[in-house]
Amino acid sequence: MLSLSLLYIKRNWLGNIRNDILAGMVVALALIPEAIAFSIIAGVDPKVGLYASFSMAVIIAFVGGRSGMISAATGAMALVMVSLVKEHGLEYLLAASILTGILQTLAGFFRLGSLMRFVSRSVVTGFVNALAILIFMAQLPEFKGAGIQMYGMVALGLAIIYIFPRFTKAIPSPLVSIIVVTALCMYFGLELRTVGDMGELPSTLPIFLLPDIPFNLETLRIIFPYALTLMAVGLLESLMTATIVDDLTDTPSNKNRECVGQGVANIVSGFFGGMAGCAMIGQSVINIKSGGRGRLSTLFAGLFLLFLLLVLGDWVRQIPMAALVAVMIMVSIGTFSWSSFKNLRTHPKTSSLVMITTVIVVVITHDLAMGVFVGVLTSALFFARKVSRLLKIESHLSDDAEERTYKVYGQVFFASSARFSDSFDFKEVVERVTIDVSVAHFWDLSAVGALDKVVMKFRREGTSVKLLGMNEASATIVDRLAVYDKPNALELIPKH
Amino acid sequence: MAKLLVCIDGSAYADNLCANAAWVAKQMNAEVDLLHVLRRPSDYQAPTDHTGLMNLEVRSNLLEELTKVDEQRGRLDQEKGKIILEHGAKILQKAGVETINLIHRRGSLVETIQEFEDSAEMIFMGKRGEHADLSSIFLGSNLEKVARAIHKPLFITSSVVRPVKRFLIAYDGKDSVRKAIDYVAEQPLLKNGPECHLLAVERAKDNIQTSEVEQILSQAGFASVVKMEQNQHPDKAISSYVVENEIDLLITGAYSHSRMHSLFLGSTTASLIKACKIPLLLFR
Repeated sequence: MLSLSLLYIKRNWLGNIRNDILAGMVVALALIPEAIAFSIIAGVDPKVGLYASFSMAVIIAFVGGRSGMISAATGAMALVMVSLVKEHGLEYLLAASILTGILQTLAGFFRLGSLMRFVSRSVVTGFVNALAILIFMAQLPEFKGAGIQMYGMVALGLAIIYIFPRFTKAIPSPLVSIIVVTALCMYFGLELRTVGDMGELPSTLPIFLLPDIPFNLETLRIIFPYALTLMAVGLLESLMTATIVDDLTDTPSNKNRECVGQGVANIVSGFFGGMAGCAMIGQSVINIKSGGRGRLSTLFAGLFLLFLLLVLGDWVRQIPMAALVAVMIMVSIGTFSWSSFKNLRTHPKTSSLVMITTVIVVVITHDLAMGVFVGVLTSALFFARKVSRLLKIESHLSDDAEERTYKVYGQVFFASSARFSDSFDFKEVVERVTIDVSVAHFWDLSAVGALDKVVMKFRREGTSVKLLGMNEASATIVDRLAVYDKPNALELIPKH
Repeated sequence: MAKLLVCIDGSAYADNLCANAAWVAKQMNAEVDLLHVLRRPSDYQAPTDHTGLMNLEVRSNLLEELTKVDEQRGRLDQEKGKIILEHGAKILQKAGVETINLIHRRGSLVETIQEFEDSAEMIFMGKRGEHADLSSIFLGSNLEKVARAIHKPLFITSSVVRPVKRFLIAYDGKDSVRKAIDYVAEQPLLKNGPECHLLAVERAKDNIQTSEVEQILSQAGFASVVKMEQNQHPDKAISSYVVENEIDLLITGAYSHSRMHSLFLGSTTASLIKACKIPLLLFR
């Protein structure tokens, strides 16, 4: 046990110290503008997002199931909480964050992480694209009523972000952009809104607090729907990100442990005055790109973030919103999967349709969970339709023209049962009919019902029916559900 | 036919390892599985970029880039591994080993060895891997892990190879050494030739009884030199005995303490491996 844990510590924590620390610093610098921007999206003080980012990163470093993944306050979660904050205030948000954590922990214990396999690639692409669009749209209100100065500064910020890396890759370009834009605004005394105008920034370490809400059913009724959506969105984005990090680093992760980890991190975050968060696709990719692999990178991102805030708090206040908007536009551009446009032409139409449906539902409802739900549903339907085509029925007449043998190949279930029934010729007069289903699969009640009806129909016409070679899978279903071979079969057949 | 599992890499010990294995293979009429384990892509440092920039298609571009780097490294590793295996096979062939199976795998060394452990009679490893510093006073990290994980006899090669004329059994009365003695008595490994020494080192008044094992050895045809000694540091006593009597092979039991114990008190076995300049045969 001890030798195991020593090995574990070495592999997960101390295997990559230098790069983990450097990558953690890059991520922390990138987290500050994002956490502030996402707090503003959610409609709370910047400190709520910053505390959340600090505590989530630190906790998930220890309890998460995917090393090297960054969790903090995210856009996806912030978008869900907007109306809760607007109608009920911050305290209800904190309570909802804690409840979200509890639900996620339960989901982890019940191994719901494995449900991720039902979320197809197209749905993931749709989710990511929708997220990018929502983050971009959330920046638009900042431009409302703003003058040419705002546009100019955002453009300058973006230019620095994209051009600076050509000169050096040693320092994060978004940071350079923020510093330059802030310095220019302060030097020329531009009248632009700053982060300080958006609400309170952290001035102390986060403190443990119980949310100030009445503990009754009414409160639960308010926060539960939000917590449920937050749980779904948080786990979805976290597990998606974990898969992305798995691919990038070519190492496995523990998805159920990640669910529990997200839960624990959200519970702690809620008690320390932070909003619910989840894994961040963009920041995790940046972490990997910067060389971060171990848990140390996540831990260091959180610690360095808090250090920066406490030391630089007064400077952070001065950052103009224009600089943050530029960073967030970069995030949304980087998150969007641009190749999905190109793929529209080459990918199967149904996949593209699933992706676009997911995006449209999210953009209309502003609810990522809803989008994914509809996306999964459509992809399941398309899948059922495709599989239902895997059904073929061949027949031949015996030499004496008295017996016809039908041979069924493929899958019979609700989507293909009608086609199954239609494949038999009831008008032909033969003495005996043999239905050979030895290489077919009967999946559900509809399939069994269809077979029953076919057999009954032949029998009513005086044709004797022989059923051949029910294979194991079909046999068990038919045994339990079929009625045709029972004495009172005619009465038992379902009437339509 | 018994099988020897020989784990080689590009370290300085690879040649000695094959020489030792060839001798054992001939003594025991065994065939040799020559194993080389490649590191996984994730064991390497990846290229880094601290721009913190999320440009277009950052995910797929990064995946592409990392895959390319791993691909190049993987190819080089594969070629190198082939050369290492062929080189080892040549040495074994020259030494007269008839059946040599080359096994080229990727993954963690410990797990790979465990995978092949069951079919192997004895496992061969060098003191340190190719990535460890030769002059370092520490053992290879892999050796330590393997020694703890496996249950078969482990033959650890040092930087000296010479014919085995005298071997020493370091006896502490524990089960793992008894296993070693039974093995020596039953197997053809050390029959017909080498001179047997048995050294029992008492830390305090442990009252190690040697008469029973002496009997086992003499019944097996070994005329053994037996010596008792009292010393607080068994490893020092053993290594000086090895030098004084020109012992060529040391046989002992391994890691009978719990990991906890060895972590804080320092394992005698580990320091023996470090101190003795001769090959070592370790029993669990």
